Order: sequence, then C-alpha cells, then structure tokens
Amino acid sequence: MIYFDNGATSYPKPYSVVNAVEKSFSKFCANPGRGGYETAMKSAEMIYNAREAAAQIFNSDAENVVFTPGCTYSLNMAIKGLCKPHSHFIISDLEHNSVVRPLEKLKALGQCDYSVAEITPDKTETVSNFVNLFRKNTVAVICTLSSNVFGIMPPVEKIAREAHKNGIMFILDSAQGAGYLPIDMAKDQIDINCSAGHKGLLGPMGTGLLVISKDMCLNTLIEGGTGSNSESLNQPNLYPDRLESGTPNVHGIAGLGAGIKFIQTVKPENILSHENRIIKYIFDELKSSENIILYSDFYDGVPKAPVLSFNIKNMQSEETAALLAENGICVRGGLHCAPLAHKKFNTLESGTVRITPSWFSSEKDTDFLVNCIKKIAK
Amino acid sequence: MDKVNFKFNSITYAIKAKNTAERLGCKTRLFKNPNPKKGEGCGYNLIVTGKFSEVKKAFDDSKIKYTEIEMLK
Repeated sequence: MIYFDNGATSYPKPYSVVNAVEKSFSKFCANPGRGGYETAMKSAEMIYNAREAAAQIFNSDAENVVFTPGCTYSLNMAIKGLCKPHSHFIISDLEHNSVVRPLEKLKALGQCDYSVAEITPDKTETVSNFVNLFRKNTVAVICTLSSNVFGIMPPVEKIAREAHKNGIMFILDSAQGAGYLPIDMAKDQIDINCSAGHKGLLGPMGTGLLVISKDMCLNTLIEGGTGSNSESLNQPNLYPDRLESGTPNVHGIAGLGAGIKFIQTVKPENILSHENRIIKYIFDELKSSENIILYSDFYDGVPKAPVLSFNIKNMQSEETAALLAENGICVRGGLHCAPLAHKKFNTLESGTVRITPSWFSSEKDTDFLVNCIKKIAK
Repeated sequence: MDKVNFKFNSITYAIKAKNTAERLGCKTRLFKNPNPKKGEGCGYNLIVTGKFSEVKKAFDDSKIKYTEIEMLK
C-alpha cells in the first residue's frame, strides 16, 4: 500500500505509538481518576503526561487540554459551548463541515447566525474581510489553520488579534496542520484550539483535542461522572473535568501521547520540511502536463500546508482516485467534507484528488505516485 | 522541613502539583482522600515534605487549584 491520504488519517503510525497502545492494555488497564489503587493512579499519570505534552506543543497548560473523540467533536463542543441566544459567528470560506454543519443546525433552530469571510491571497484584505463582518453580537471567529483541500493557510494570528481587539473569541480548527505547523496559542491569541489526534499528531483514530488558552465558561455538550466533586449533582467548573465526562479513551490517549512525543523528538519543522519537499516535487513533476489541473501553486508566495489537490481533465476525481487505488495508491477524491472550499475553487461538481504526504512518505513511493498519475493523464 | 497535605478535587491538578513539588526536590505521596468531608465527594490528598512557602508559591504560580491545606508537622 502506498499511502498519501494523511489528511484523512496518518499512516503508518510510529512504532512508539503502536507499542504505547498495546502496552496500555496491560499497564493502564484501570479507570483513571476513579479508584485510588496503583493501576488507576498509573493510568491517571499517563493521561496527565499526554496532557502535558499536548500543552507543550500548543503553549498552553496541562489542565486546559481536553481529550475528545476527534476534531469534529471538539469543534461542536467549542461552537455549542459558546453559542448563546442570538449570537453570531464568523467563519472562513475554507471551513470544513465540522464547522459549517453545527452552525447550520444552530441557525435552523434560531439560536445563532453566521457569516462567511472570504480568504484571498492578500493577507490584509483577508483580515479586512473578517473585520467587516464583526457585529456587536459576534461571539467567535472560527478559522482553519490550513485548508484540508487546498493547503491555503489564512493569516490566523492577524485575524485573531483583530477579533480580540473587538472582544471576540478566536477558535482555531487545526485538524490539518497540528503536528507540523507551528501553533502558539498564547502568542497568537488563540482562545480555543480544536485538533484531531489521529492526523498530524500521529495518534490513533478516535482521538482529538480541545485546548483552551485560559479559564473560560464553556457550556457542556454532555454531563456525567468526572471522578471529582462527586457529591454535587452539577457538572464541575474545573477544566478538564468540566468537558471530560465518562471514562476517557485511555488506550487512544496512550497512543496520542506517544505520537506527540515522537513529534517533539523529530521536531515539527523537520516534518514540515520533509512534507513540503515531497509535495513540491509532485507539483514540479505534474505542472507541465497538459491534462492535469493543479489547484495549488507552491511558488506564488502564499503560505501553504503540504496538501496538493489535482484533477485529470475530463475525469471525475473519484474516478482518478479509483484508478490510483488499483495501483495500490491511497489518495482521496471527492469533496473532503469541505463544500465551501470546493465552491470557492469551482470544483463542487468534479471534486478533487487530494495528496497529503507524511513524515514517512518516501521518495520511491512519491515517484511511483507521480508515474501513475502521468500514465492515467496520458 | 514542613509536611503539608494539599487537597484536590481534580486528579489533573493533583498530579500537576505532585510533579511541581518533585521538581522542587520535595518528597510527595499522592493518594485518594480516604475521609472526604460532607460536600467534598471524591478527591485526592498530596502529602508534600518540603519548604511550605516555596511549594505554595510554586503551586500558585502554576495556577494549581487545591481546595484545602492542612499542616501536618
């Protein structure tokens, strides 16, 4: 299998991740934060260590790290946790359905309204597009760290700064980018960072993160046992307990913690550099082909994550992806759950074929991918 | 040398406190509170042996939320 679908989930995982998950079944087999016996305390310590590792890479505090089942869940928690009657949100025109659908649902229920700001190649213009949509009842701006389809990176730190000047919170969707793109929540004034644990952070599927920058009052999506304040019939206010009801995904968190530690060892900048080299090589190899449409230009001066979308002329993206699959290549065709981004690029009908490499992508596999695409495009 | 019992509602803060105290060279023992008072529910005790003022300052600087401090010695 030749895997270039790391935007969906990363594969392979480092051995340390696989080992951590496997060992967790014997080493961390008790429920953390519940019993007081040794195994339960060990589980709790392992989870704390994973929390601390996540806090380090995002520059937050361990108690501000909430483990979730995934980035979609994190975004729902953030959006619904902040939504008040008649509140207004602003999102970018590159957002994933995990942002758009919760807002559409809330809008249909008459609980909120939202506006869509256009991302352009001009950073100043992009920031103005957000600022022009600010209203008195705007509670939060939600923006992706990088488009999951086209790799475009909005100037999130500048948008966040303007939002803060107006008393508006900033939520970052770092599903694509966490682990290899720098995220400094304190410096960049990010109030809530929602991330997937199983993509760039190299953890198992079914893991995600919601990281807050400071104590804030987020309403809860679910309530239940937290192992703390148990006599109270109300949900505790302390984080992370407030947002972590029920038994945590101990085995997934063990893997996620190991994934983050792997990244800290290899260094995110080295991972980014490797993936950029791969994606630029593919871009350079395909750009001169008459029958191939490339949707990202890695030399136009606009910052981009290592994500390349393409199509072969007169062919549906899913058809191209299926032909590549016949050669053992894993890439994703279609709309990538991001119809706004595809609408922006006029690819709603065809979709695109998306290539997303990882730290483990080799030159040999990249050459094979390029040659297969060229053959199909002939 | 002081011996102090810091009480916590949350295991996250209890472990953060344990690690913070150990970084200061203190001896620690973390365990589930065996005698929670009425209204406390589940919680944790962290016995720290070290210089109280230094430990308390480190906890406060790290925004560690404890519910009670009990001087043991």
